Amino acid sequence: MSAALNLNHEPVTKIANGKLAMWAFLASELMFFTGFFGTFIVLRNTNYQAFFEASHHLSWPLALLNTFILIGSSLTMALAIYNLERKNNGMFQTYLGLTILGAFGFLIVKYFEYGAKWQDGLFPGQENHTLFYSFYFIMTGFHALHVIAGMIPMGFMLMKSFTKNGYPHPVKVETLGLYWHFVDLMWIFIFPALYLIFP
Amino acid sequence: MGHDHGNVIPAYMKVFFTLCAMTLLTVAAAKLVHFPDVGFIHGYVLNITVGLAIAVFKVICVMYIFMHLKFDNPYLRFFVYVPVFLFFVLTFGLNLEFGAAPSNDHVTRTVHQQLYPGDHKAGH
Repeated sequence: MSAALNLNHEPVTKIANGKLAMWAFLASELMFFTGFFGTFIVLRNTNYQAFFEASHHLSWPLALLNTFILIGSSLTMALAIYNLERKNNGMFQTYLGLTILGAFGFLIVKYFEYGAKWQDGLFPGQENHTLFYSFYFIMTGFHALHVIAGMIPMGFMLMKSFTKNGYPHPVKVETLGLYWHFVDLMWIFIFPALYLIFP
Repeated sequence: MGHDHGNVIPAYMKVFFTLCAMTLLTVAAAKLVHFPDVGFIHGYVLNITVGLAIAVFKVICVMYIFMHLKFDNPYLRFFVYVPVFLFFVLTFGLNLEFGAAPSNDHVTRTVHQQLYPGDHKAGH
């Protein structure tokens, strides 16, 4: 991703082309998740009792923990960019490392959450729970895939920063940061929609 | 991003603590507060709306400060507003529509009554 990033600026907007491309990508990603949300809400309205019962097996405290982890990693990502812009390279590495650690933490919590569901037989194919858990695994699964997809370039940038002259251009990190904040944004909606919306 | 936005750390910290507080508020609004019915709008629809409104506020905080929309070229904001607007319309619209869906009314009321009998006094 970072190798293909064009750092030139579009002449009218003065926004780096790579960054503009990332915003376009995020807009398409937003529509991708909107499809899930829209379908989820419509099917929830027509299968309310099944969704209601199935949702009560979800662990909202674990999801709350993951929300705090993602918010924290969003902060550390912003601080990593801030420090890179000021050439505080050590602090950049620390904060980027903390962001990756946050991403790992999120996936570990998600692993325990999925494991508990699997042990309790709460997955698609089970009576009364198929529809809800199809959405649960698709929405949280795609979100987790986005987390993994963000960790790969972050890990690459962190490793490269330990080599001679290996620090990335701040625009590249900020572009990656946009993606990482988007992952946080989607979780901000997934959390209440799946875990809290049922009375 | 190559531009210097000055010392933005205080703004970052403010957003971080606001997001944490708003997250707790979302949980409280969903799990602890049970709004009474207002006219034809069911109380639990208000719970959902409050939860989504808090989520929207959090999203705006992240986009403006963490994602630098506040500091970037205003062109970028217009580029982002359209899909965000559609997303909010869909999410809000469908949830509010749910409150008026008669097919769910009986089921929801029965379940809600079992969970929170205090909210459904005799004659309501």
